[in-house]
Amino acid sequence: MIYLFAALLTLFGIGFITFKQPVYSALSFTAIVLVACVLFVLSNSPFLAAATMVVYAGATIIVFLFVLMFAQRSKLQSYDVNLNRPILTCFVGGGLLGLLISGIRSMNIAPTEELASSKVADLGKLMYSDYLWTVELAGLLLLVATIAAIVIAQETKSDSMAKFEELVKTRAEGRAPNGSNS
Amino acid sequence: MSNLVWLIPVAPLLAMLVGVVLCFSSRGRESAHLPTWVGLLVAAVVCLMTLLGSEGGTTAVVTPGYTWLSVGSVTIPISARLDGVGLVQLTVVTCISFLVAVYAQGYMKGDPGYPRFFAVLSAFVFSMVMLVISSNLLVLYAFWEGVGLCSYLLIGFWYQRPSAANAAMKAFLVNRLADTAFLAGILLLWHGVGKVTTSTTAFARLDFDTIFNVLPALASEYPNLLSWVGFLLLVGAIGKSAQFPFHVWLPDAMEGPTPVSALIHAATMVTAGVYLLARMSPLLSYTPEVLQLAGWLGAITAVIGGSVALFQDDLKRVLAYSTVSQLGLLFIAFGAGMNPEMLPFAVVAAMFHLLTHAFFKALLFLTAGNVMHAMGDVIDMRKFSGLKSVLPATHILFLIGALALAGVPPLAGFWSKESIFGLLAAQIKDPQHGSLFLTWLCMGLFSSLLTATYTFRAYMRTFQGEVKTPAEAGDHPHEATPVMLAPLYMLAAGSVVSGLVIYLTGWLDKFTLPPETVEAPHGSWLLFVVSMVIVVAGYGLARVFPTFDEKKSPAFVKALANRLYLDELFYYLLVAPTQSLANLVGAIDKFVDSLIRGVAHVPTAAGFQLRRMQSGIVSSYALTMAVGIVLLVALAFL
Amino acid sequence: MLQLNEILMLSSGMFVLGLIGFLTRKNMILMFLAVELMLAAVAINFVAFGSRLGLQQGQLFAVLILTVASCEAAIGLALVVAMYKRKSTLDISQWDSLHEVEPPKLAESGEVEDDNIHDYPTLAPAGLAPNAQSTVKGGSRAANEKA
Repeated sequence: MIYLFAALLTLFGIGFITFKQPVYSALSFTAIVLVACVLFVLSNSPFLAAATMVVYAGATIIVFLFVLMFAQRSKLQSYDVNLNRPILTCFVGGGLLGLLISGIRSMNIAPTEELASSKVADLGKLMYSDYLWTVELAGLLLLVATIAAIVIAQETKSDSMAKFEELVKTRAEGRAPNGSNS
Repeated sequence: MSNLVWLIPVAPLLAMLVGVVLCFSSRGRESAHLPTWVGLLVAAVVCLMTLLGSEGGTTAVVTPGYTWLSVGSVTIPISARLDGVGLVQLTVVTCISFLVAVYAQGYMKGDPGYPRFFAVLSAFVFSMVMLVISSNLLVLYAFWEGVGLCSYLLIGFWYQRPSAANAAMKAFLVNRLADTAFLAGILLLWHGVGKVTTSTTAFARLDFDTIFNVLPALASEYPNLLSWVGFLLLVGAIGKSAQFPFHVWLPDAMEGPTPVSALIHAATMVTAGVYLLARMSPLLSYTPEVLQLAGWLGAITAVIGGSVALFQDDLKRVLAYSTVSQLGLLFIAFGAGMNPEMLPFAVVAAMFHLLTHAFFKALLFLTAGNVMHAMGDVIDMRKFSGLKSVLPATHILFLIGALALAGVPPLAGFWSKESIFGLLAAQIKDPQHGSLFLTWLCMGLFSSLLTATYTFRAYMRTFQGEVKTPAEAGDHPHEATPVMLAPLYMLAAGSVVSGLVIYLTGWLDKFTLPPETVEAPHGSWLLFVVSMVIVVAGYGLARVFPTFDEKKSPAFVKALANRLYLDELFYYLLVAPTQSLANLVGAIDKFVDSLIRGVAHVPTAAGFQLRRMQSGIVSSYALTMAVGIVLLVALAFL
Repeated sequence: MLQLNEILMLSSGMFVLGLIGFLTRKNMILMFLAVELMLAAVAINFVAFGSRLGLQQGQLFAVLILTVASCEAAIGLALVVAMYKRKSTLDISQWDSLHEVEPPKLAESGEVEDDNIHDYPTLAPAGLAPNAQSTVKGGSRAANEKA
């Protein structure tokens, strides 16, 4: 089963890295996130899988695509076509992967038979009792980030960019309900 | 009276401080001479009062003054110690300095450094007075150096002129050479005194009273050490008193303003060495070999100075070499004190000639200053002559000074020279050193002949003959102002009468001789006659003495005109080796520096290579970071 | 059913893919996506460990990571938009104004030349420059001796 996942990850990963059209890359990213969601499910975390699918594969990717589309030119851009030192980077990444896998192998984790299925209710209880402050803090962080995004995007106000600004405002407003979803 | 002793150094000191303030003030610069006048006048009057009110005798009065340093058990007091010799010296210093200061007001008028001149002048007198009255050899040394510093400042007064700056440095360095020996002598003496006595503090070991008390013990236990001390002190003395071979700085010191020349040559600086020998005469009485050396050096200097003076064209330079030669006579006098029982008389004779010489040499220099003033700063005797009618007052004054210097009776120089020669002549029959004394006597008399010759020659070249003035003098060369002439009259009076009065009354003896001593040996009538013959012969020689052309003259004349090439000798013997040593050290320093700079260069060069990594592109930084993480993780696995 | 170590390996692979994507792509938005990928890989780790240990905290932490990732995306995108307004490109390599301007030569960089540092001070033989006219006596006196 791991080989299936590994093959999927490799496939979409290579696609993500090498697609010349950024939109395709973004779609590959969505696919990878979906794979991750499956991994969540396999780890007995169905709620998280759902949330990730909605937030990541749904809202976040859409916003990213918005911006991508907006900045999209009619023809391919050279910075999308050419990769930055791919061979060296692959060596580095491969080295890191090898190290991590060998490290994980050396941990000798005993295989388990059955995992206790977790309930969403337990998670919710935990979040809104023991970790209430943490959750509130995360919400506050989202609020601050929203305001910050508005301020940053408003930075310049040249006429040619007025339309762009509109879009950013829309995105920032649309961002807030996404954040509160988590 | 002794309460007033401290007034003598303090008055010039205050004058100096006021002068320094005036140097930096915009107002009152023209009256900067006033504090110096007042300070020196007070000092001179106090000196004269003390001298005239003094009973005489050689007992020293120590007046505690100021505690310079007091740390735990170590106290360094500065006390005044005044005895006969010191009193006489002090009077000469302050009186001549005062007269020179009065003269300088006229001479230096309008100079931009006017306040500076008088401030340094006061400092100079202060240092000299402290040198004379200090009760401790180390304090004496401190002010000895102070005198050297002030002379540096005064000789280099017109520091814009390369020749003046060079002369100042030369004077300072040559003195430094001798002072090193002097300091070594002091330290050696300190060591020696510490060996024979333990009763005093470390600093008080160098008090003159302590030194003189332990001298017999020191002489019997460590005679060699004492000889070395005497020798080193002598070297210090010949440096300051410009004796062969350290006389080279004195003629160049003419680069300073003329009042400075008068002050240095007549009253203060050059007499410091003689004073040191006089002060240390109890010590020197145990070391006749040092006195013999002093006598030889004096005799050589007297002859060399006189011969060189004969061939100089610069009026001030003639006088400078004359000073060198006369100081040689003083050292001969000390040589004549080789026999311990004669040493007090030698000191008397030396102080006598020092005193009269102060009068007439100051007079000569200041009149030469008048000539220079009138001739538009030209002092080369080839360029002017016949000034008798142009500068009548100066002419008379110069003539008086010249006659006194040449030793024409009854002027001062005759008597003081007689006392030295008489001392030598009285000892010719001495079984042990008789021939030595005879040699010195002959050399002294020969230098007298030279003195008479060059003095008259300088006089005739300057004031006699047809009237000729250089272009720099302008149309109407004028006589000096009254304020410049007044001190000259006083000096002239001193030059005329001081010798005769002192010689006949023996007035100086009561300050310098122990009361119970026998009658001082005086010259015989024969010596008087010989001296007069010498003066006349000198005059005759001066009349017929030819003017040498630089190119056609014989070798020895050329050598004398070039001051016996002693400057060149010094250059090749001392300056050039020092310079090559400095170059060598500089090269080594450069090498070491280059090593250090090479090491320092490594990080710099590395930095220049590494800064290429700062591409500003985020991806590169991230890649570097990733590589670093991989390496770190790999390291964790190893 | 996957074992814990297998999930860890998969998440490592995902992380490395994100890393490679971040390092190789020049498109700023895609670089952000790559970072999101790396964050998701880490979140998987938390969830897997939590599940193995029977704890809910792993999921909780993953939720927080999601939140922070959203914040980051918001601000990051805002920055990208602002930057795009400036240069009309998403190329990250255009933003290199912090780089060294040009490889400087050693000598120009404030480094003192070796010859200059050994310019030792010499004792001035003559004090200041001759200004003879300013002194009364210091003028034309015949200095007939060499110093």
